[in-house]
Amino acid sequence: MSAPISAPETADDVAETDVLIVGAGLTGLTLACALGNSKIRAILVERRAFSEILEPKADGRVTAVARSTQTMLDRLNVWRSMAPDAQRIDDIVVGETSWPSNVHYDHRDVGGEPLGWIVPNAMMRAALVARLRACPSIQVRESAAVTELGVDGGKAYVHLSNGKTIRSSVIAVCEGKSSATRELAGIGVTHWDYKQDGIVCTFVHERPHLNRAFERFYSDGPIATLPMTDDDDGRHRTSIVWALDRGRAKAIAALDDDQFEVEVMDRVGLHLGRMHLASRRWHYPLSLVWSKAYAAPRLMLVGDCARGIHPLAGQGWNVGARDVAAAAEVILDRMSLGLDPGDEMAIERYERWRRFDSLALVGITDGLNRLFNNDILPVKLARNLGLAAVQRTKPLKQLFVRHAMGLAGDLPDLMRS
Amino acid sequence: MGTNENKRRGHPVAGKSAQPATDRDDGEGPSSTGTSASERAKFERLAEGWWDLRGPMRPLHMMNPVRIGFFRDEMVKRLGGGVDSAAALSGLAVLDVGCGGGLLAEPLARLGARMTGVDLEAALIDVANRHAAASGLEIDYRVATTDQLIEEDLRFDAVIASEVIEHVADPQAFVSSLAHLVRPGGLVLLSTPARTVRSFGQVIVAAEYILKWLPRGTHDWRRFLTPAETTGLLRRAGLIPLDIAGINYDLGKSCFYRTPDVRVNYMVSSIRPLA
Repeated sequence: MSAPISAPETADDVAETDVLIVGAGLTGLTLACALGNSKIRAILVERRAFSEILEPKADGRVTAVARSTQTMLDRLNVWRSMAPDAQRIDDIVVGETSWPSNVHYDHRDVGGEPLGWIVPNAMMRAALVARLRACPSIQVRESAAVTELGVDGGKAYVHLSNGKTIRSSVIAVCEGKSSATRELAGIGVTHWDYKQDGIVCTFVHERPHLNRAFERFYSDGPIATLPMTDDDDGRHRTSIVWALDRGRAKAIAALDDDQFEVEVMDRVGLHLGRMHLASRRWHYPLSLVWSKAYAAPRLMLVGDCARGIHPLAGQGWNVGARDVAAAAEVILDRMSLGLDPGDEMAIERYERWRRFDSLALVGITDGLNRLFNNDILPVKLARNLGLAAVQRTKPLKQLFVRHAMGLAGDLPDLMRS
Repeated sequence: MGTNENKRRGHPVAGKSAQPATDRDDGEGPSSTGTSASERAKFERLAEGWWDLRGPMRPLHMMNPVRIGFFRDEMVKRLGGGVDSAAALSGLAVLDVGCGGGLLAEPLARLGARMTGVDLEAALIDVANRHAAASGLEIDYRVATTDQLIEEDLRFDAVIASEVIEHVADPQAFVSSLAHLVRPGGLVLLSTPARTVRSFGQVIVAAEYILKWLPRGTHDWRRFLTPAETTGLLRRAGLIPLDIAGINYDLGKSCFYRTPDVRVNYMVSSIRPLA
């Protein structure tokens, strides 16, 4: 962190709080709700205007919500507002169409509960903001960017682009992969460009999806179909997440919608019947961003700014949600004991807790993507044998399913059912 | 009365560490030895690191959440407190005997307790006062013995002596003075290491010799009290023991935790009967 600069002139320009949250994406909003739920004083700073964030057409993505994440959202009283738009997933089928061995994750293997839900990001955001506005201990500062930060006299402070200063016991940075505040804090990242683009869009289709998600691997990248709730006209809906080598992605981007539909159906197969594009096509460059540290003095990195992973496993936000639950638990534990929520004990505990989860996840998704992005026959054979083995070994499969449901590992309290 | 933190931090400068525990200004009565200029300088040097989480007091900082958690829970359960978890102790007058630099008194004050802290070491009370001021907390810190407080006819809702009794010369007299200072219906809360084979292994061998968390000679294991001895002292002082819990260390997670196993370090709550 940079050295403190001269103190602002008047007390009006300085706000004091216990927790400062930087970034009002899904992660920052959820953390604000979690702290607000426990009546902890926090200020949420966002560089954009909230009206911009809440524009439903601004984000066409959907989020895979694992069981543990859903438990937390339920605790925070936001799930019930999302539930009408949340599609449950009962089965996940992973494999290659050209080879016989698929892995079939079935919710009946783990007690009949859904494996997870698919929720449009826009709906999640709306529900979180509505809940936030009912939390009296949370203040919001929109259209304000962090321009400088540091630690001084037992508190962290930030200077904002609107000339104000906020002093706080701890700062939770929730800005996503390309976090400017992380850079201001002097935390470096390891960046890996997958040389792939992610294409995200929504399709309506003839046949029901039967609450089933598919993930298919092709040599130029994986495609996933994520079941959504029916649209307002009662049409069946599915979100498509398609990762493609950048060259191919450019070619696909150049296609008109009819040609695009043909390409997608070609990959997805016939089980959904006729499919029609029902949204615009979003393109996102795919990269792995792995922060070199998860914390700094009086500062925690939460969500994608700690590690932005490949969207392949549909786990990105669930790991971010686990960061949120862990950060909230550490802060609440300290404060309910009258202890400093941002001192070294707190920061150490957060960092140690998150490091393990992150390591495991980056390894798994990165490895999976490279494995499946390979047309060499022995690799292809090996991975099919591997998948077949997983399919036949029930305990192993259950472990994988529990991992996908977000139930493996050292769960924060907010996520325990 | 001893300063728990003072004893745990120990005496790295040659001289005092060679003294047997009985000669330390522990327990009842004021320090008869006074504090020489060189002693003061030593304490002031050490006092600098009192609140440094990476400094010599680190073990006590690490143990702090567990003992605060037990003391807080007992006070809320038996004495009633604020509904709000951030002000769980609001309205309670609490005395911390052997408060050292204020590691326990400050968090309890932040939870709403009206805190009084006493210690025999003026340099530590100085540290405590300065740190509380910087934290914006009002705590009544004094260089005083329990006898001096009794003379003032003070009464508290709860009296805490954490990691102190193992250093005092006459534990029974010490506990009786604590009982004097608590109002009828109030609590006396203690924490201390146990005299067991396990605690010998963990507190003396591991903490002092292997991990070098504590300076050698910080503790005299023979002076540790078993849980039964401690509850006996409380009963003879007219108090009724209510609950006991253990503190243990998780090597994997590098943290202390509360456990029913009272063989290493334990915390006891007791109440002064109304009649």
